[in-house]
Amino acid sequence: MELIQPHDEVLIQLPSETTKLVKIVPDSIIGLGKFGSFPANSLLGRPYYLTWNILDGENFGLEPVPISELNSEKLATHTVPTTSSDPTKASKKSKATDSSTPSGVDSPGLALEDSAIGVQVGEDGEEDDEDVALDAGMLEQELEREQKLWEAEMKNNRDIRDDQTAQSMTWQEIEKLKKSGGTGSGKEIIARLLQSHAYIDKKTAFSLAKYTKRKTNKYLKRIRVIPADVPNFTHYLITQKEPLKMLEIRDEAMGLLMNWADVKWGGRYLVIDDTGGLVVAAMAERMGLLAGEDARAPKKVSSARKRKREETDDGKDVKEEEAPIPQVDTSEAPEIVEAAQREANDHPYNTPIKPKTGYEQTSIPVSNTITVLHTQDQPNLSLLRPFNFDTANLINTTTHPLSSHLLSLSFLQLLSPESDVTLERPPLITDEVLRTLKSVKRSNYHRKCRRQERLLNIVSSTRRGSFDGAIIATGMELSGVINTVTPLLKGSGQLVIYSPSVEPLSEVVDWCSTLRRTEFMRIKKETDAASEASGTSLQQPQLHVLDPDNTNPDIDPATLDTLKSLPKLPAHTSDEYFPIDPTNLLAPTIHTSRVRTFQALPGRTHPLMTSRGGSEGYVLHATRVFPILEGKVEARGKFGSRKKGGGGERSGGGGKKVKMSASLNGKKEDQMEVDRVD
Amino acid sequence: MAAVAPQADPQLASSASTSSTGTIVTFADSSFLPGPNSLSTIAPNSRAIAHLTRDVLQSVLVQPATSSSTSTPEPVANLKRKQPSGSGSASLNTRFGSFPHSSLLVPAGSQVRSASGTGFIHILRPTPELWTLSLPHRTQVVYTPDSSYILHRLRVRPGSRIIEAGAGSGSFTHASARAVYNGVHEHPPSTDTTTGQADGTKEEKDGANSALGPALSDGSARPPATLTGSQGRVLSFEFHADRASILRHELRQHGLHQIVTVTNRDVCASGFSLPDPELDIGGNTYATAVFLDLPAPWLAIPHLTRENGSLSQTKAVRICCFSPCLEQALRTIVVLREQGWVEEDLVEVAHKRLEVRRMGPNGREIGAKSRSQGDDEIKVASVEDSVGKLKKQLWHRKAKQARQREKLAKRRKLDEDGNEEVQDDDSDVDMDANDDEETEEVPEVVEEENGNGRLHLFNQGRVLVRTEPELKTHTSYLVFAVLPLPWTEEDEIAAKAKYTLPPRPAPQVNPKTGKDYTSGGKAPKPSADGKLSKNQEKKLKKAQEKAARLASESKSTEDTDV
Repeated sequence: MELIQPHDEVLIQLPSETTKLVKIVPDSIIGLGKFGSFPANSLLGRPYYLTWNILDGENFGLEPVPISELNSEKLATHTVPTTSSDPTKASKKSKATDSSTPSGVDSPGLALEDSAIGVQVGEDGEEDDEDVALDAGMLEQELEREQKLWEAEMKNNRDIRDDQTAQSMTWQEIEKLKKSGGTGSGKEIIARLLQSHAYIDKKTAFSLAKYTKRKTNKYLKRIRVIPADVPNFTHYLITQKEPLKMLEIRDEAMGLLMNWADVKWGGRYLVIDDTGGLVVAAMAERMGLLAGEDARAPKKVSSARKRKREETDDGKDVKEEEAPIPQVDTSEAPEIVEAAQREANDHPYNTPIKPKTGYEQTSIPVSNTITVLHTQDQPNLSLLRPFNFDTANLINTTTHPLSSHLLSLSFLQLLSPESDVTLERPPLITDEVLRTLKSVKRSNYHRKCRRQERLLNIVSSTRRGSFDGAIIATGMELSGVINTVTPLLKGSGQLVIYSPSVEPLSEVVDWCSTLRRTEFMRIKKETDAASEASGTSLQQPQLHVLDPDNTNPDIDPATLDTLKSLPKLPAHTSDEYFPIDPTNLLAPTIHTSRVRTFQALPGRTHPLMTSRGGSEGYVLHATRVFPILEGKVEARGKFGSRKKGGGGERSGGGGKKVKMSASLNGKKEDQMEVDRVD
Repeated sequence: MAAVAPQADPQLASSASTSSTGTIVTFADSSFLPGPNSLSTIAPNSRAIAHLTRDVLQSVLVQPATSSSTSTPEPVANLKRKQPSGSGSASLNTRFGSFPHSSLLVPAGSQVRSASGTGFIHILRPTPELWTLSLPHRTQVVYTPDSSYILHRLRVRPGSRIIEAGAGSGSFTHASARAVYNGVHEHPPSTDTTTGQADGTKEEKDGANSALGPALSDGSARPPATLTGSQGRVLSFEFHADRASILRHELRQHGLHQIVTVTNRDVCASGFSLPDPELDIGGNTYATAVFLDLPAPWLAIPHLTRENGSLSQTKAVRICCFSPCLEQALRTIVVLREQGWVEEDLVEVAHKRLEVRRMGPNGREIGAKSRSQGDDEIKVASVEDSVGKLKKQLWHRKAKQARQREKLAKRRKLDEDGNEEVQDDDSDVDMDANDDEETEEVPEVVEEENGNGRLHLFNQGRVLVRTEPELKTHTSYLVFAVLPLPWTEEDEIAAKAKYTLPPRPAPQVNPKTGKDYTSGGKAPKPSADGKLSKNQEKKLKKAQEKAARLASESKSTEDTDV
């Protein structure tokens, strides 16, 4: 059952239509400010999405609000039959929701209907969902209903005076009622407020509904608990926390990112995430890395760690101790790894990285991984914490699926690993000496070795490339990022970039413009021809060359050898005209998507009056392709020669000539291709 | 926190228990999914996407070189449907030339030259997005902006079960198949995995090469009992029999048939969970997500209940109804509210694709067809330019007038000689000369040159962004809702017994200020033995002092006032 468990972080929707992130610690009291407080235990073991009344006074705690009551309040503002008018439906409803407390007549929504909106409640509005057919009778009924609705709306606020005396109930009376506590106090207040309002009969149904809703939010302390999954958490962050920190990424953009990047279970992805880990969380969710028992909150991290420490104190070998802990997560059955390895044998890049000295958890999975590239020493993935994954405790803790499937390395470790500090291996300590050491020192030694090995494996696997896709959500200059990331993608892999504003992305598209690409190909062809003439060939695969000036002297020779055997990353030296290699990316396209929310109350349906401004959020996606490099020049030659002709004239000619060649070469992609076929 | 307890349906308990030990998880043999076929090379008998231009994508079922002669007609002849090009012949014909299938067996992402060598295309590995852009339309297609948002909001995850009713052209089917995919879970039959997989590939080949037999085309050729409950599934319903069978056929071609179950049924009439031999998970769907793309979703919603087994017994269920008209959406919402769904939300997705151009220094778009812009092009780049140009014209005019005056003076002199005819000719010549001068007046473009002295036209001016020429301003209204788990009074009592409430803390009232901390979160919490910590004591003391001071101060001020 999907129930609220101890130490889960949940989101609580408050009557003020704001949300609060709360950790449900057993035996604690959760305070909600002016809305009161309740014991955490009254939420434990309960399902999500239920609505609760906060009870004060004697029976301190929470009381479930039946869904039928909630919904009938919404339905009541309409002519749609409610529970009171149709006993069969009421029984059905309570059956559907399994709420055994049938919504009583004392519910404010229903009382309201009886007294005030009674005018327009027509029994003819009855519609039975079982046999609704769009026959003529139905249609007539509907029209009639609509008519009545409009008549009801004809009531206007002409006779309503805006003054303080309209409400005859005093605040002292309200306070007194409030103090009396109990379940019914809120409802009673509302009922009394409605009764004692001077113009209640003159209000239109709609304004009455609005009034009631306002009062309901004020006096009924109702909360709803929703799970803090990625969409809910995103909404919480963007509306209430610091949206700038997560680049104001909205659900629409997140959905586009995930779909265009083709994020799926079993893939390998590269991420540059300046949203504090939100993009990583969304990917992990799509890859099944946030699900399952392992992804739950550890009961007590500190005690687990303590226990571990105690066990190490027994003098057993640490290796044996820690080996079983970081096993491959259960979301990926061991058989899969076999299958993956079988697959890997077919593919040179996918060869599993074997641990060298037998630290099990240093080997990294060959599929279903997220590789985070970061700029600092450590990635900023603080927003993963509510998903029970804390990067600060990466090595020490957990059985969380992410701890084995989330790989992180800095740009330095990727591009110039020989200059990195983490790749230093502590001086070897033999087993005999190791046994005599204090447990803290011993486990420190093992931890360092493990960290070094794991990083080395991450570096090797990342540099081998062949990623299924890459997601970039960063404020960094994009040319450098694209030049780093693109060569690591496999053919037809997707490069997807998120940006809060469009300008950085439009630049990228411009860097790949047809004109620029053509010119780039031409220049490249010329230089290639020149280099061929001089006898040097650039096509041979090369190995990584260590930076002689900045090699960390403390890295041991074995590691250096591994680094030397890594493939050289194809580098593009960006200049003013060609910041990125425009031939690598196919059809970069920018999308922007925005959701418009409606108030959905029949007769009163309209888009929300206000919504959040700020950044629109743009998503660019492009496909990694391999251009034809070898072979006849004529493939592009027909096009190139025309360009050459134009260029030649242009250099001599004046402005008019420029215009002409612009129209020749500067056509849209598809026109140009048509020309080529001719 | 968003962790979801593993599926433990009571109905599936038997399979769940074995799944921890006995289930074999393998990669599906599909070019859409990671696995043996998603290696970097396009494999024979798999789907590939030919990228012609940004807007023109063609899907092609690449055939192995040997079987080109035995190509099979697809069971779709009765529908007037555009045949995916290349499915019947051994070469892909596009407007850029003809591409033999053998030339397409290259690493995905490669540029491929046509047989004649004049045109070329890119050949890509298929994704649900590319497939959406290239699939043969049978009905209105759910495009990526909508489907991505829907799948995100419905929390479709690896291992989820999603009901899709109104499969239509299968666009959403593919996207959701990718989302639920968590490998193909099977109970080990008598044979071991490797042969099982070999069978799978063989079957796949059979399905693609030989004419599809009726038995093969229904998507349930595998013995149903072997699939386990923890596998992610798309339960697709389509009431149009032909469309359902075509979709099955496509899914088989794409290797997704183990993930998607297509059922030909009118869900409005007969519901989602009739015991159906085609549903190889025992008739009940137990879905956690529902997507309804039906003309009247309110007729289908009452069939979605936990009692009849169509919805998950253990999890909250999310629904999305996709209706083009507001009336449909509202009606849907009413029924959802009546059926006890909560968190209903009516939204509309507005999506734009942006185009990027460059505006040259003289106000013209570089890269746009200048022909279409007509004659009234903007010729000046700036105010200064315009003023300067007009000033220049002034001096030209003045110079001209001076010249003309000079000439007139000359002529007058000549007139004295009585020569009149020459005058006209002279002025004509003057006018022509003037025209020439004006055309030579060209705005000086800041021209960047590359090493060869050529212009870098592509780097001039500035980058412009505008929306695509044809905008989809409305696709559909999306109605979202959640059905919480049922919660009865007995459940509540049981939960209360399991998690007993701690005794209510005594009301904590600050004795001085009289403020009640009990309901607020900021109350100083007494430690276990009931005493306040030192820090808290200090704070309390301070607060008391402050209150006392304030009181005395106010007193004194009152005194002075009096």
